[in-house]
Amino acid sequence: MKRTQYYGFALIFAGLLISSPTLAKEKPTGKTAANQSSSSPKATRVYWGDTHLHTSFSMDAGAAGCRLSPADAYRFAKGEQVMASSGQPAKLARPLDFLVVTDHSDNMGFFPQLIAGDPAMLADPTGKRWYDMIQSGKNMEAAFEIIQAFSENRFPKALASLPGSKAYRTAWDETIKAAEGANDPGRFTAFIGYEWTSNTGGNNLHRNVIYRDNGTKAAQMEPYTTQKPLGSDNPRDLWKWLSEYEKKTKGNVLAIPHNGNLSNGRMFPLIESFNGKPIDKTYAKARAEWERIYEVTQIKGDGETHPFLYPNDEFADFERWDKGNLDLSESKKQEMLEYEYARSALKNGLKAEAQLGVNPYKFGMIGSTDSHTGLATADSNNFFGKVSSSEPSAHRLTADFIKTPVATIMDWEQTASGYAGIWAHANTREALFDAMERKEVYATTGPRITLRFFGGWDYEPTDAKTPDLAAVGYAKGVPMGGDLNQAAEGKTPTFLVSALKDPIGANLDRVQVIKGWLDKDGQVQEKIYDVAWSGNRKKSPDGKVPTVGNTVNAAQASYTNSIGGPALTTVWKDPDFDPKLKSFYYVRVLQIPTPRWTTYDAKRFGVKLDPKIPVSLQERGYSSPIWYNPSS
Amino acid sequence: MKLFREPLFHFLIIGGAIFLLYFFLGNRTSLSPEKIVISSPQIEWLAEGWKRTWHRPPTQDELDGLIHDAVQEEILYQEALKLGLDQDDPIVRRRLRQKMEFLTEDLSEQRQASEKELQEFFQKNSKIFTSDPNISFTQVYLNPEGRSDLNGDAARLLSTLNSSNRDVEASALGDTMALPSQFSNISSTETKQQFGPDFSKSLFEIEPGVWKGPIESGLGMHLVKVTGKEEGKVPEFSQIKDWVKREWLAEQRREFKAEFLQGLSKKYSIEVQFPGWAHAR
Repeated sequence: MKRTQYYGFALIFAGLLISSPTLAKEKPTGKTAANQSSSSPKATRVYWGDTHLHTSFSMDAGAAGCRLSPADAYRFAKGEQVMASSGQPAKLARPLDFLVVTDHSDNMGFFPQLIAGDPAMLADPTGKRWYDMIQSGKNMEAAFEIIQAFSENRFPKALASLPGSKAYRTAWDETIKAAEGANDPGRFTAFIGYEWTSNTGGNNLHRNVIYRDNGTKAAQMEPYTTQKPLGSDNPRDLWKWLSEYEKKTKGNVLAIPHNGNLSNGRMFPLIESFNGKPIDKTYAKARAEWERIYEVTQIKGDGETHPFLYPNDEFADFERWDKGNLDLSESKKQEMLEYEYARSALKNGLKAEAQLGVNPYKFGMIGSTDSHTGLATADSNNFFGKVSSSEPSAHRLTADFIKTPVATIMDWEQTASGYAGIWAHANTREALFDAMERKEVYATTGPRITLRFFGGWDYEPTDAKTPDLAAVGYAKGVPMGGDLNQAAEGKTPTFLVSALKDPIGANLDRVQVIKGWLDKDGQVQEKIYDVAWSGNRKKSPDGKVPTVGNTVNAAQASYTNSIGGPALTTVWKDPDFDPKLKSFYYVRVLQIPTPRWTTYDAKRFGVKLDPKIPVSLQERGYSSPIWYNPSS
Repeated sequence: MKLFREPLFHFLIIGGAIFLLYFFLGNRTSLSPEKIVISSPQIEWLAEGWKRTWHRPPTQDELDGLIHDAVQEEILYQEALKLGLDQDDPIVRRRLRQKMEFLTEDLSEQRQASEKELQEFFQKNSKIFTSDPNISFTQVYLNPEGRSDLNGDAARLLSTLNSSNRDVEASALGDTMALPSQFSNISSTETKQQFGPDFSKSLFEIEPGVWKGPIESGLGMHLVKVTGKEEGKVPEFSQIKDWVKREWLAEQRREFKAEFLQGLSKKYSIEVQFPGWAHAR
């Protein structure tokens, strides 16, 4: 079990660190005013991509057999064919518009920059000779000579590891180089990024850090790690680092947390796990500042909500990973769930805001893969798995993903999810990053559903009939991620929502608006409204639209678009609005049932599925919320 | 007890056992303390590392912490080597492999291409550098849901559109959707992404100037008026020199890596012992 070995390794390392002194000092955080993106051009189209992908530069990915580099990962995302680590060729059916390679900052690894042509190196006679050999085309001879020198310990000291010289180059430089090489403004955006992998006690507090900046800025500071003494496992210290980075470089970065479902109650705390105290205003401000979006769905489970938290939500039981924390060293308890899922966090954010004056959990939502194969795949019929050892094979339907005395997660439990949809006016680092900061983004579990969501005071039912929907949407209100403030006397929020199916995918079942609010007694509440649906289905007395049906043929791994509809558009007015109560609204759009990735696999490899494995599922999208604030 | 399951615990127990074994069986003089020197260049390097993360030098306390950690690491590293923990460890092997690969990568990038080489490469690989064809068009969308005569509706709408001269009216016809009705200068890649490959193919075959259709996509039916088209073309070499250089380098890297590995392979004779169930090719 390679994976188990890796976790063992991580534990050894964590153990060694206990004795190291903590050196981080308190520093104020907060982005400079210049970084707040001001009014930006209206978003004209949705761009698809993955903000969370690992390559062989991540120690765990490498250990699990990944051989693809960041450069390979970007090539694959652009639609080129690459050789997957398991030796099978892989190509995306549709290229992505953007990608962030986010290898773990811990152990990202060093490599000596042997020959950079710099003066210090050329001053050494051997260095000069090698350099000349290479320049005159004898690089092969030079290479063997260098390897030999290495292996016989004759490597010139001057070229090796002198401190402060260019003798070491980090994998960070390679990562930056790969992104810079792949970035093609207007056509494909390659962001620079890394993952800060706080994992103390096996509890997932991971964050991805994404740069708006180019390599010149990103290279000025090496990534923040979790290992003391240079790093820390406390997100507050990460936020300080982000702040320092922006101050130092005048750059712009953000952090995206993920997998609250594997944090065992620690991802969206009201009581901080690090000091056992209630979160304070400093925490709330920094979190709201740096973590404006949340990765709500990915291969290690979907994190919108949980059936335990809202039993009345018949779509809540979807690809849940709720057996324990990340390394399955501790099992899940029900009371943890509230602090793990996006919907309950959005609700608790309102509660915290009432106490602290700042909402720490005012985040937009995106999906991403967190694949460790270098391959950003989230399509169910083209799923390459979480790690290279679970790339397509006849065995992956019966293999363990991770097994501990606490529980077992099988390979088939991986979720073929998700992607990030970003509304922007151009495919550039700047335009996409700014859209992330203003939360004009949404998540899907893989299908490229186009989803518009606007909130305002004056949308009319006829607005849902306008062919140019976005023009009306922007003219009369705010897009997803925005705020509505202080309702004027007698006014009620109205929402313009439009969902369009994936052009080569399944039809849509329904569009729902999910509302959360803080009632007059300070209790959090939620309600789900079906607002648009296909066909002639009639709402039942409890307000729910009946199920859409299911056309999935398991043996053929197929479905038909004979049910559902291609485009659902409506204007919805909140029937239960109270202008005095803090609230938020977000959209969930559901596809008709389609085969789960395991069903495609079973057909491809001619194997029988364990009856425990669901045959079909309803893939979906989650918009970023629009908030209503009683005061401005 | 969770402690008993901790790999660190196992590691310490095994390490301790081996230590005691050597203590009682081995030559006692070998137990005299070994010397660990943390040299001043090493300390400079530690401070440098700190500076790269925090952009300021470490304080005395912080530096002491770094040194303390370095000493611990050195001790554990030395002991781990003695115990042979680096042998056959998949992570260590992968790391070493990666270092070799970085090394070849570096070496392959040292040679600068001459202008002539780049020109030749550009001529030979002009296909890589050809841009996508572009198109500008207006579309009217017909949502098939709830229509009993989709094709009839489309035909009627088409004749209305072609009898009218004003495009303004087009934007008021048809059904609503989350995509815009007008697109200007978008590439074939983008039309594929937004409407699917079949629609995109038909779209580029349409003669500009009049309303055509209906064209089917995965989303429904569309009536389309193409207002402009531009074939994909090869840019001037001077405009994309950097791009050519990148592609040239990528090819160099591929060739160099393959050649390098082939060269190394000559030092080894390779014998594969297949188990019974597998067959040699």
